Amino acid sequence: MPQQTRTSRSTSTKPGGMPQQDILSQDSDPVALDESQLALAQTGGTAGSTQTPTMAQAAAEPVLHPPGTAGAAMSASMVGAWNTRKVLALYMTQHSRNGWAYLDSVGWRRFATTNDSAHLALSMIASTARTTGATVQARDEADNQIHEIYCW
Amino acid sequence: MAGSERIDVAAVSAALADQGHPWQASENAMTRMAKTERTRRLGVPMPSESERATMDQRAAMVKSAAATARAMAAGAPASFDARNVGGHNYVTDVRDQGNCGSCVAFGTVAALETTAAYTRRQPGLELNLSEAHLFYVHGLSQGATCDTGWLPKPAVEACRDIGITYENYFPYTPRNSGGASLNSDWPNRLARATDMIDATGNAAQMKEHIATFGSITACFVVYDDFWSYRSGVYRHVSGEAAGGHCISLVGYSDAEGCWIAKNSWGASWGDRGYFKIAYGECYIESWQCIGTRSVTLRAWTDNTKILGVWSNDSARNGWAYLENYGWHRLGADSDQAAATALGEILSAKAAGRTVNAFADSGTVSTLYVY
Repeated sequence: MPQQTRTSRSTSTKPGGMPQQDILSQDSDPVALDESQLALAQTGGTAGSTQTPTMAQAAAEPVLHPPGTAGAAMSASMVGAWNTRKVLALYMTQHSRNGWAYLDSVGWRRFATTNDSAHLALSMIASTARTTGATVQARDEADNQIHEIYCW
Repeated sequence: MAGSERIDVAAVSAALADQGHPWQASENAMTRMAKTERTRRLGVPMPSESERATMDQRAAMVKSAAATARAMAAGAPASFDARNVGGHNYVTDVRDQGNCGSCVAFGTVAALETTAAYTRRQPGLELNLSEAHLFYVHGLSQGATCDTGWLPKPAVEACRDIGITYENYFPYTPRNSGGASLNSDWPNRLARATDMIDATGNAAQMKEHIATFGSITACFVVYDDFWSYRSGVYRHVSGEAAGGHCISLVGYSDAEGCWIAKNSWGASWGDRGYFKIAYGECYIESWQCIGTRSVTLRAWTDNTKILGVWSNDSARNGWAYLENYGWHRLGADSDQAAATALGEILSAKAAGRTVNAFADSGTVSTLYVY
């Protein structure tokens, strides 16, 4: 994975104009959204639940079904393990594999950095969800990265 | 009743009354036909004496295992009906084979259509496969005709080894009186059975298969009282054997002690085209019971909405949920192709536009967004 360095705050890999940025220590991380930014991001959307991060199981192919379909009822028992959220903000820097999404009630999560293709796919899906206000179900791991995402 | 032309339904009803009305009979198009016309609606050659002996042994085993063959013991629910699973119907419309002994094609195709829809959890799939392709091409290549009939096992094997096209690529008419022929593009509009199973003589396995995969193809001996079936749980009460017949089983009920079968004599026959037959009756479990665990499709989807998109942390692993078709992987020979496919799918989803995708075995290889 490409090494990411920060040259200065003025050319920070973090988004500018955000409060609390000084308390963040890691390079290339986004900063937390304040209340006004959250309110702005939620305009036109609805807040998600306040569940704690997911315990969903990793899968090589999708296992959930879109809400309202026949399969949704059959996979209902699995849904509870997933973060059902709105994407409230997106973030990236010029660095490789450094796209992030802000999930409602969860916070900033980086897209998985395992490879370019996956990082791009996850960011494209989250971007569409942000644009359309669609609900996503995301699975993150202890590395605070999104490793799987559905967009409905 | 034997040797007569029309079925004497009054006599059948009287015999049923003597038995306490186990099922109900009524006049229908089949009972009014001449005997030769009726028997053309069958299509499974009656077994030889040695085959019959084997079937008798299997039937005895089914009966002796009846107590343990209850679905609960086999890990399947006590009842199942693919026409109503959580309020959804996974069974396609009842069809009519007409005056051709092609019931094997209908019983096989019906099971494939239900398995395709149920395993995908897609009641709206509305798959309509070509019985004509199965019977007039694959069957004929093995010597099967409207007058000889066929058997389910080679029919399902043909669906597995070659596949069958969709109805609009070879529409069925009895004895192919409509003069249709197989569309030369059939390899690009194709369904194939995979992972075939033979549950003959094993009622518990039949139930488990039906509850898991939606349907199974089976045969039974038709007796002359069966033609007049209207409702209830059929048991042979009167009349002689008329021939062998093939149907698809789409459910069962331990409480009623019966299988739920989809027939191919039109929706006006029986219970809207269906009938129930008691466990252990007329060799229903012990002749040939063939199923498949999966049905792959290779075809264009036509105008289809995108209901969901998914990816994980693996390379080139984007998926789209196509309405009435389910999840499909977006095929990609390169990272660029993966991004292009996903981008087009996401654009269709965002705009609520339909797509036309060419999918083979669950993978999209070509895509239009309109």
